[in-house]
Amino acid sequence: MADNMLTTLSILLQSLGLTFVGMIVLYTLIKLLVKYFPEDK
Amino acid sequence: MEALLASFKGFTLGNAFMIFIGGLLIYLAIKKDYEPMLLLPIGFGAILANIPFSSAIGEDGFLTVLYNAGIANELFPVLIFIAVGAMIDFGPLLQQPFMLFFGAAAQFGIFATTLLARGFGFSLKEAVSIGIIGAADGPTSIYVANLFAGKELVGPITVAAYSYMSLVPLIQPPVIKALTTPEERSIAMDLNLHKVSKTTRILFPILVTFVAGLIAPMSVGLVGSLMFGNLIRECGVLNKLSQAAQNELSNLVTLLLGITIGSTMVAENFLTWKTLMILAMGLFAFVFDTAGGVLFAKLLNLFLPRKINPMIGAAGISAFPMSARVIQKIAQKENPGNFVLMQAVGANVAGQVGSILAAGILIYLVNALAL
Repeated sequence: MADNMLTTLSILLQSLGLTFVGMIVLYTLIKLLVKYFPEDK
Repeated sequence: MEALLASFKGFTLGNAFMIFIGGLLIYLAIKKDYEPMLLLPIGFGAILANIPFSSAIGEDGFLTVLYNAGIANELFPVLIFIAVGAMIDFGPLLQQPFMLFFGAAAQFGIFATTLLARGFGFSLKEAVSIGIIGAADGPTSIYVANLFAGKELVGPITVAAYSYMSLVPLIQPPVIKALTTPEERSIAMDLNLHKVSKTTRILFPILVTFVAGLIAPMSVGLVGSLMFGNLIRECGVLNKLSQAAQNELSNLVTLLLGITIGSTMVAENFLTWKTLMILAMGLFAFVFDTAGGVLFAKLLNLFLPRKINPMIGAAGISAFPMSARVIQKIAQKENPGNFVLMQAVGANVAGQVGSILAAGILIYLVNALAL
């Protein structure tokens, strides 16, 4: 793929999107952890 | 006598200017308390590197040895992350996982700056390295710059990253005030946060490493070391190691990292238009990080029944814990009874995770192109 502005834009949009996807996954993970391990016994 | 003269003859105006810059960094560290643990060693490293025929940076010079042993192979940033992980309390984030999204939104500066750098003619790899200044996270900046931009750009990128991190109290408030109203800055946040179990605190770093590794395998080195440090902290049976990571390891690696980075600031590499542009774009990155976080919070407020103080979004920048403190200070100025520190710290540590994740994803995508 050529090293041009369009490539850069495509990479940046993918990165931004994947960063948010990653955060959604981590959000779900924390929610599950807090739900299944609510308190210390 | 001839050797002495050769040394004087080899001393250029550029060397003199860089020694002045080194002195200035030392001054800012001592007098203004701007990131002294880093700016002082960087400043002294710059002086060592700009003495003609300096044995410190020759082929077998100790700074060259340190560079090859700690920066060229990314060891120092990874060790720093173990120390940072041991220092971070993820509790405020685990209590309010929603803050993770601010940790993503406040990485906007990385993307805007990369685009800007490409517009100025930098190659994609150089542009990404400059954009990562917006990660507001020194080790991540060094990691990516060393991987993509090479030795000559590691110095300016690192100096920009650490300088602007120390200037967060000056950079963020005007941007926040320009984008929010006094009423928005006065919004109170929920203070009744639930307790987080020890099991959750222990499982969190292990699972994050696994999940982040699956999403961005290139981030495993950074996320893994950060989370390893945090696991040492939270497990409850390694207090001595946790203390060692937070103090001895952190201090020692920071010292070596600083002086080694300073040694890359040799006049002929540093005194270029590229350096000036990198310094300007670094500021741009921090401004757009802040704006990205605030505007994202304002966007969410259009849909949320209970409004969020949009300043919390600005804390999604990873400059930990300074950004959270700045937000709390502004909030109390608007409304002395307002306490938003816990939410701001939550967003702040989310920014730490977000910046590493964004960096790992960018490294992966750029490498996949193999330009």
